[in-house]
Amino acid sequence: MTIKDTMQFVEFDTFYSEYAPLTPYGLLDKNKYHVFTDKKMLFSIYNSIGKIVNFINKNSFESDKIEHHFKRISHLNTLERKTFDSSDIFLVKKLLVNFKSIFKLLNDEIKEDLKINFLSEELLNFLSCDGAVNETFYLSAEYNTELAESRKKIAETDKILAEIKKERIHKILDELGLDFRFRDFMIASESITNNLSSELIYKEVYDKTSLLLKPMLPKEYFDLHKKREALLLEENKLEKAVLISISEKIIAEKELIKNYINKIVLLDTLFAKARLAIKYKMIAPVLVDKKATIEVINGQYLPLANKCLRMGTIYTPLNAKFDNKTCVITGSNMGGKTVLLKTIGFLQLLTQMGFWIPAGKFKTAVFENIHYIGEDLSEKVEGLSSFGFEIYNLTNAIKDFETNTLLLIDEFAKTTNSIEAKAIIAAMLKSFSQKETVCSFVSTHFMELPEFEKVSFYKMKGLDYSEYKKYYNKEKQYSLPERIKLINSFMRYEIIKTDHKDKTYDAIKIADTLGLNDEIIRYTKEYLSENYD
Amino acid sequence: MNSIITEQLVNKTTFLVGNKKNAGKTTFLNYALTQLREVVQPAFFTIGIDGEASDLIFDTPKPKIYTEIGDYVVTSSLMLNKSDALFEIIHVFPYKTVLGRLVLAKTLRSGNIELVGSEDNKQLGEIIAYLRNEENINTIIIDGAASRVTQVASVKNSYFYYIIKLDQKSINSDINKLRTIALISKFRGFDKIEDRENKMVFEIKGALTESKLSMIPVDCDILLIDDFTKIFLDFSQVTELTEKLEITYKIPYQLVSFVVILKDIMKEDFAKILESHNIKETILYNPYDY
Repeated sequence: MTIKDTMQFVEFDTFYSEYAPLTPYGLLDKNKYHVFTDKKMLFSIYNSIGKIVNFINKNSFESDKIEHHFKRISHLNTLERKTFDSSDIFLVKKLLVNFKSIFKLLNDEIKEDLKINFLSEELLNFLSCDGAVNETFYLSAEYNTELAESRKKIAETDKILAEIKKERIHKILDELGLDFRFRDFMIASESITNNLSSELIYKEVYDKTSLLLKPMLPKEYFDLHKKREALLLEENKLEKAVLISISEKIIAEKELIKNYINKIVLLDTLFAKARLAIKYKMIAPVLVDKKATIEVINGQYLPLANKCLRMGTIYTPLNAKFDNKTCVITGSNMGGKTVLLKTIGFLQLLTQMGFWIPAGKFKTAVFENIHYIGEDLSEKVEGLSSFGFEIYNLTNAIKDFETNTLLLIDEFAKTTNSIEAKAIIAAMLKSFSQKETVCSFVSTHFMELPEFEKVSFYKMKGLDYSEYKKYYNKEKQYSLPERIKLINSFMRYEIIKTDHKDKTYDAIKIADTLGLNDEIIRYTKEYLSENYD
Repeated sequence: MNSIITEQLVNKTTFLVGNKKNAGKTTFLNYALTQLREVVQPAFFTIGIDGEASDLIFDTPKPKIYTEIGDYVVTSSLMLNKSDALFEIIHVFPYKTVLGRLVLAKTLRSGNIELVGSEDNKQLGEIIAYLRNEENINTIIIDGAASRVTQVASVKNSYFYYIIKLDQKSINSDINKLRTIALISKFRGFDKIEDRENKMVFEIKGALTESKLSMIPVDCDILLIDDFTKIFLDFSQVTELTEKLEITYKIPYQLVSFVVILKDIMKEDFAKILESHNIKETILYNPYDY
């Protein structure tokens, strides 16, 4: 399903950016923008969200800790390898440590619902063989007695080397007054270095007047150093063998680890959805049969509701029980027709992306396709007019009519001649209403569209002109933002059922409020009076 | 112990920046670490790739970086595997380099290590933030690649040493560079400018180069640039500009000290040069000088 245009139309990303999984896996999943069409799967997701909402509400300490562990989880390097290095093993161990912690914090209800289990205690203990069941990893000598022996020899050699070096440095300090305790070399002028014993000091030219001096270490130091190199090679071989044995143990549980990752995605995304549900007091949508109509009680279009909150203006949620699957939405300019379409689209997307919804109730079907047809939100296609673009999109949408399709059509054909536009819209309404798979919302300014069976007409209540007249002062020089605020204050953003004959004449009132000059207003009224009832 | 250097480095994030390749940054890093270890467990890493036993491009041998028990190192997983030291892995960053993912490790057995770092300023800032906020590591030294001064500004409240190798053969250009850094290190942060609303502020995005000088309005009072690393003018150009306006930074930095490595120049002669140019910044002479 391509829903990019619908997402853009409803400004979905302003909400989606608040959806915040905490693990790299959860974030990757988020970026896939999953849209589900399987009703059973959606029910399951809603139920799981419900369980997690309850869990968060009753166990805030545990859920905070779970979030902490989510944040600690890093993306593993690939598991499709025969041998892992220390950093690969570190990542596996860290995942197991955090997943186990999350598992222990969850309640039985969630574990059972999401089939979560932790079965890698033995592997985790093996990776923590030095006793440290924490996130760090060290290729411990505990893994292999030969490795332990090798490291012991290296440590002993290092100790002797340090002692030899220390003794020599102290000798140089005592006899020559040169301090190499914190320095591997020194730059000194030739005059100072002339009488320095070559048994104790190595010299090389630095520049025209200075020499670079280094402590001359005894032969036994270099012999022992060579021995150390050999020990290091041996240690390296043994470490590789240990890495192979650890890798084998990890590979043996590869499928389990992949399962833990899947569960992490599930938990992380569900917790993120649950947090949003709590924040916006959301509820689970109600999914009904494809033949049923849509019903909304107190449906919030969050991008606008949040904007109103920031601006201190009133937001009116959507309340509507649509009695047909083809609905025409009419009403005055700035009356909220487009917002209604956006609200339906927004709630439907949330529903089918597995979120709860910000409403008192949202009863809807599952759609295999969701199309928006209206203003071109993408970059303009060269050679295609606005009307041409709408026809193109409609043609594409019609190809999907064999499966359940939701159409959101906003002021179709507003850029072409009104007679043909009205005719096309009438034809669309007739066609859509005859198809059981199509559910459409068509906003339009055209009045007196024909009546069709299975087509319902609704209108936005519009401007409360009587109240508005009491307040509006024609003489006052309102700024544009003030005018807009004025209109918003007296606009009634509620939807009411009407019929195909309904007429709305708010345009002149809106134009007047926005400051259109009196001469044009007067001419308009004269024209209407001469030509229309 | 050199308590001056220790005091300058403890609980700070400090970049080591050089005026040219093989200026002595890594050698200074090794020295600074020996001082710091007396007091704290430091963390160190680099920008880009460094620490190869032989520099493939310039065919010059490079000093190794010695890590001791308790040191924290950030480098690639491959470099950890190659090292003769032993490490405990504390964190694996999500950043990949050509030599594997970047890893934070704690040294369990001393040895030599090659450093590989991030080339990305944003990643660098995130690594430093992680060290400070998640692991409580506050003494951090970053070995900057030659002339990669840009990295300093990716972290607010950071410091830097400017390691400058002065060779008799290139003394004039080296001194010019020193004078320029000394001068531009004094410019203030924009938030420190008084009465900003009544001043004509002009911002130059990106580098301040000679070709952009003509863009500056005649009545400009304050020239705003990102940070000092964006100034690509010589000393006389900067001086001429500051006679007409004040240069300020979005991100000010703090120069701790110049570390001066002299070659074929006597210290006394160098001191006279400093005096003649009125350079009063803190100078640390090569700590390897007798």
